[in-house]
Amino acid sequence: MNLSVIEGSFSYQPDKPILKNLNFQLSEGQVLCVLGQNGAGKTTLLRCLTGFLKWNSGHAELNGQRIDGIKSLTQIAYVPQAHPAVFPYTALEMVCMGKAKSKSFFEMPSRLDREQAMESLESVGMQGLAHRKCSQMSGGQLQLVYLARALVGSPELLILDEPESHLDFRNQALIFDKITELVGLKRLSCIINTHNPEHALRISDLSLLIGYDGCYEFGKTSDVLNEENIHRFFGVFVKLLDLKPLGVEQKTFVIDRRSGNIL
Amino acid sequence: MNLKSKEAARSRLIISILIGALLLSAFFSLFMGRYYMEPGKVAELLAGLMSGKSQKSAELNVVWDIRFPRVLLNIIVGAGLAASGTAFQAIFQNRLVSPDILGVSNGAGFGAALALLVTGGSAVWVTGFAFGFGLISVFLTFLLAKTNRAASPLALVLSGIIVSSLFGAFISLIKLAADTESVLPAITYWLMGSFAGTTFEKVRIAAVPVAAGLAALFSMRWKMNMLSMGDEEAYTLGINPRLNRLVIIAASTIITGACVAVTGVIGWVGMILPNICREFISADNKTLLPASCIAGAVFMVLVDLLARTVTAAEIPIGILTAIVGTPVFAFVYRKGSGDGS
Repeated sequence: MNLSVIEGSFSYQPDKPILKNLNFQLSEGQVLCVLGQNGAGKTTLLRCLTGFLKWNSGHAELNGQRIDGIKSLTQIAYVPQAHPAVFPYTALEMVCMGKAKSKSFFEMPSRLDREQAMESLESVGMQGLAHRKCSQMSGGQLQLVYLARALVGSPELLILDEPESHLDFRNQALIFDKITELVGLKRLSCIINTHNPEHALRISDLSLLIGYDGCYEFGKTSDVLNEENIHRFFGVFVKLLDLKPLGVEQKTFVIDRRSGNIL
Repeated sequence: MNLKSKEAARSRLIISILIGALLLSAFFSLFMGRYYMEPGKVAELLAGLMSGKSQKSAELNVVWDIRFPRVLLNIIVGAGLAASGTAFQAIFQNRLVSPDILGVSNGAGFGAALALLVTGGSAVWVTGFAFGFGLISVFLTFLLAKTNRAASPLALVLSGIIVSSLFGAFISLIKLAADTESVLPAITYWLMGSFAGTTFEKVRIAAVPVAAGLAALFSMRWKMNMLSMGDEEAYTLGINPRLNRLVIIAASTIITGACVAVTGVIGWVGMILPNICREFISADNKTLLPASCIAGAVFMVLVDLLARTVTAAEIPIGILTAIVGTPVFAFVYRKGSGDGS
């Protein structure tokens, strides 16, 4: 699996570029976090990658082949935010939807598909709630169901849109641990939208920072996620802390309030 | 896996019960009514008919030429409206949507009123005009929704409401111009919906488009699950939202148009039955669509039985579906989880 975006540009209005000549690439087993403020273009980028929106210029390539979208690509799956479903589908019915790409026009899920859906639910630890209605689940459980739905098609790349949104503190940690575990287990690659740089620090190999007017910064997380870039792209002063002295193998950002002004 | 098969067995059981209820209520309808007949007599008549050894009699006339086509039409219309309601709710991602949300009923009502005014009530013209204008109104809705770049579900629903009220105004205009002694009552009664005077001819007219539309909806029913998640998710799951929505709207419109053309406007069935079945059977359209079809047919047979037996003069069924539908809905919703899930 090798995904690259070459000179990707997109705008809703001609004079206001959202993404401009964007270039990045991602290899097998790598996690890329896409960061930026609200409205910077994170979701737009994911929509261009899935093909729901069309690039104005430039394109994406999968293993050197140009792709126009993921509608008929089983190698790439999309995980939406944990939005509540309008209809009370059970978890199993929801996960079965992930098999639609490999079905012909009139085909319906078979017994085998349901078994695979069950296995997929097991892989995220949700087999016990397979027959629970999605409308009766917590946000964290629902997010795991959407994750299972993406995994049931055995993809090589997952695209996740802010998987931590609408989740509480514990569930955020839970969902990211699950993603990290699956990445290690199945050699999955991930592109994850997040607005929290700490999550990117913890789980990603690569980071893509998107700012207004189409400017961006791409590179290894350890290189690009620094104090200057956070100020540049998020507009707040931060300090990067190494928690090693406390016995924790982790770095974290804290907002710097010493000057009395965080902006 | 065991659990899943249990669930499948449960859906099969419920569908079998519904089919049983349908057969029972249909048979019941054949001997109940103003002209009461012993159930045994009806069975005898039917058996006689099967073996081709029946003689002409008033009873045979009532059962075979009046009640039998009427029950058949009840089933066709009930199943058709419930199916297109189920499909529309899925593709518009809203449980309160009914089959006429895109304007088919008011369009058909206008067509029928126009035919009643101009042709003086010939059944062929009324049915043809109603069906034609039903389709035209949905087409107009599409054109209107298209003016705002993409025909998104929301744009379609809004345009449908506008086109509906436009044709509603046209109906009022015709009523205004209509002769108050003969044409106006005819229009008013037509708009209330009725199965009175059903013939095999009407059954044939409705059966072909409804069967064709149902075949399309049945073969695409699993895709409605994906479409109900919204365009973006449907797309990422491998479904072309616009194309599939278009086919489903076309099939549903043909069904609803045909039903309205032969019976007049009958509300509620297409909105309520899918919700009740979703609550008690399954939200998965793979099971839900057949279930609400059969439940819609049962409901229609029973309500029409009420319509023609409760009072000496027949009550228009459009009135009864709402009067019966509301308490049924309230009861069922209270019994269910109550939170709409």
